[in-house]
Amino acid sequence: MIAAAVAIGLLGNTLSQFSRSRPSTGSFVTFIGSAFGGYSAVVTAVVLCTGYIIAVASVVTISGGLAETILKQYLSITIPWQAISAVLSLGRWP
Amino acid sequence: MTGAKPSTKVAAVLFVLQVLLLLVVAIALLIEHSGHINGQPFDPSRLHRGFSGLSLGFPLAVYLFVGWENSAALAEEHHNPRAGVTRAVFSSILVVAVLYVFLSYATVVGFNDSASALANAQIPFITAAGPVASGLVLIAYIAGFTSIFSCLISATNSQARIIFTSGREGLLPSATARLTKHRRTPWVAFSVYLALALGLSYVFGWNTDPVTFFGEIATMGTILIALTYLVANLALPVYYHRYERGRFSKVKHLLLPLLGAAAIGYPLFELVKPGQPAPFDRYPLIAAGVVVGR
Repeated sequence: MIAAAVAIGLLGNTLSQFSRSRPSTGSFVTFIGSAFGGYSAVVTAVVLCTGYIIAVASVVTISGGLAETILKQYLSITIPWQAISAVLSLGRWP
Repeated sequence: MTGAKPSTKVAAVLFVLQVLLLLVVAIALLIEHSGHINGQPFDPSRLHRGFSGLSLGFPLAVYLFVGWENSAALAEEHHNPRAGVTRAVFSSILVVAVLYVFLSYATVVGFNDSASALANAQIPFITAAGPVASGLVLIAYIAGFTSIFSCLISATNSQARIIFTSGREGLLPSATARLTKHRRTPWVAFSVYLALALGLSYVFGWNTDPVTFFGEIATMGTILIALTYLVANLALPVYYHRYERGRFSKVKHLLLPLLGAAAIGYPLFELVKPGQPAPFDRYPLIAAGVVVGR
C-alpha cells in the first residue's frame, strides 16, 4: 500500500504539472498525445478506456456481490448479484 | 443524478459516511488487538517472496487509488483549473493514502499479524471485525457498499468523460461525444461505459464468486491503467522540454517523473516475469494484446 501511495504521489506531480500547462478533460490521453503525437493519444485512449472499463467491471460485480451478501445475511432475502449489479448500473445512468 | 456537480456531491457525502464507518471498525480492531500493535507490518523483510510477492498485490493497491485523477478530468468545468487541480490532486492522494495505510494496518493487527490467516480470509477487514463485535460486521458491510457505490458514481463521472473527449477529438467514434439537451451530460459515453462493464462482468464472472472475480479483474484492468501512468511519467519531461522550456525544472519535470516511472515500472516488471500463479500469468499477454492490437 505504501509502495502504491509513493508511486501515485509521484504521478500526482506529473498530473499537476501537465494540468498547470494544459488543463484538459482528456487528462492522460491529451497529455501523452501532446508529448508523443496523435497516434500515441489514440493508443492511450484505447488502453486507458479498456483498463477503466475492465476495472469498473470489478466495481459493478462487487457492488452486486456485497448487496447480495447483506440482503441474505441480514434480511434472509436472496437476490442474485447479477440482477443487483444491473439495477445499480442502471441507477447510475444519467 | 445528472451533471458533474450534484453527483459529485452525492459521492462526497457517501465518502464521508464510509470513512467514518471504516474508522469506527478500524479503531475497534486496534483496541481489541492492542497487544499486536507494532512496526512489523512495515518491515520490508517480511514481504512474502520479496518484491515478486509485492508485485502481485501492487496492481490491486494501485487500483484502490484509481479515481484520484478525477479532478484533472473535471478541469474544464473548474473556474481556476491550474490551482484547483493541483490542490485537489495532492489533497486526494494524501487523504486516501493515509486512510488506506491506517485501515490496512488495523486489518493486519486484527489478524494478530498472521499473514496466513489474513490471506485465507475472503474479505479480511470484515472477517477481522466479526470476532470483535457482530454489529461491526454490518457496519463494515455498509461502509463497503457505500464505498463501492460512490466509486461507481465517481468512475462514471470521470471515465465516461474521457470516452466523451476522445469522441470529441476524433480518437473514438463521434457518437460517443453526444450530449443530453438540457444538462449537457455525455449520455452515449455513459451508456457505452456501463454496458461494457456490466457485459464483462456477466461474460467472464457469471459463474465466479464476486469477491474472487473482483480481485482478478481489478488486477487486469489496473495493469492497463498503470501502463498509462508509466507512459504519462515519461511524457512529462518530453512535453516540458518541447513546449515549456522556459519553465522546465530538473526536479519537477525530470527527476520526479522518472522516479514515478520507476516506482510503477519495477513492480509491473516483476509481475510480468514468468512464474506468477494463474490467472495472473495470463494478464501480461492480455495487456500486450490490447496495446499492440490497437
